[in-house]
Amino acid sequence: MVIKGKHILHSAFYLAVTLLCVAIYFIMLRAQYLAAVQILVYIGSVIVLIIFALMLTRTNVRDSTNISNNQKIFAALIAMVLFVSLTIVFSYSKINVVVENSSGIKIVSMKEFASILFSRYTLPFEVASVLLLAALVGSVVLAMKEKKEVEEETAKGEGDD
Amino acid sequence: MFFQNGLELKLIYFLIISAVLFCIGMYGVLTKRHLIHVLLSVELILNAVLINLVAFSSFTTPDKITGQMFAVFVIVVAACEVGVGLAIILSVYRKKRTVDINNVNILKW
Repeated sequence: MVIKGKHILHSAFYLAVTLLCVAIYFIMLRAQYLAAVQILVYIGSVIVLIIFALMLTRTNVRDSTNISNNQKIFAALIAMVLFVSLTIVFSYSKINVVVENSSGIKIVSMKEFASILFSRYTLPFEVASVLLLAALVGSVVLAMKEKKEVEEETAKGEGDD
Repeated sequence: MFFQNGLELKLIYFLIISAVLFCIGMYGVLTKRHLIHVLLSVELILNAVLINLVAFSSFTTPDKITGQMFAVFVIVVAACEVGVGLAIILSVYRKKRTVDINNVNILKW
């Protein structure tokens, strides 16, 4: 549905539904904290960002924005082959499964999670924060209008009036 | 062989779900021409990876939560990627007035 939606805005909302389903899988896997993070970060911010970008970049509402290139068959073939081979590998592999079914999975408490995050994983945590800052600054710089462009646009706007 | 144990969840179900998500996402990346659509498909792929990480963490090493830690960092990186990607798309749109990938070929030799 994310791929096949008629308008790209519909695809974005279908993506939100898919992400919600992924959050439900996390709850099934006893990872409640991750499910909450998933809903907050993905559905709360990523989808909103994407919809904002769609609004900013749309050219014509009437056009169907779901355009594909002419390599549909090859792409479908590659995806199918990958899926079938992955399934075969999964069913024949002998993964060292400790917990046989989901009723044996231990619920990770928030406290435990936080203590591990801030003791053993402090360095990756800091690196992630620096990465977020860099991405923030980078996206602001990229999306900022250049001065000349702004002047051109205002000149064009005055001409239109 | 798949539904022997009634409704009990097994590792392989999650692996197959994540493989399905990954393949759908890859199909989208390969076929779509709208820049934002490609970004949506990349999100699908990242979510497949997340399901895999959490499933392996829960089923194989239930005492350590390494997989969930990794999943948190993957979410952080995904958020960064979406922000930067959308900024790039916006600047491309401002330069060329289009979001069609076929028209964005200034790097083509």
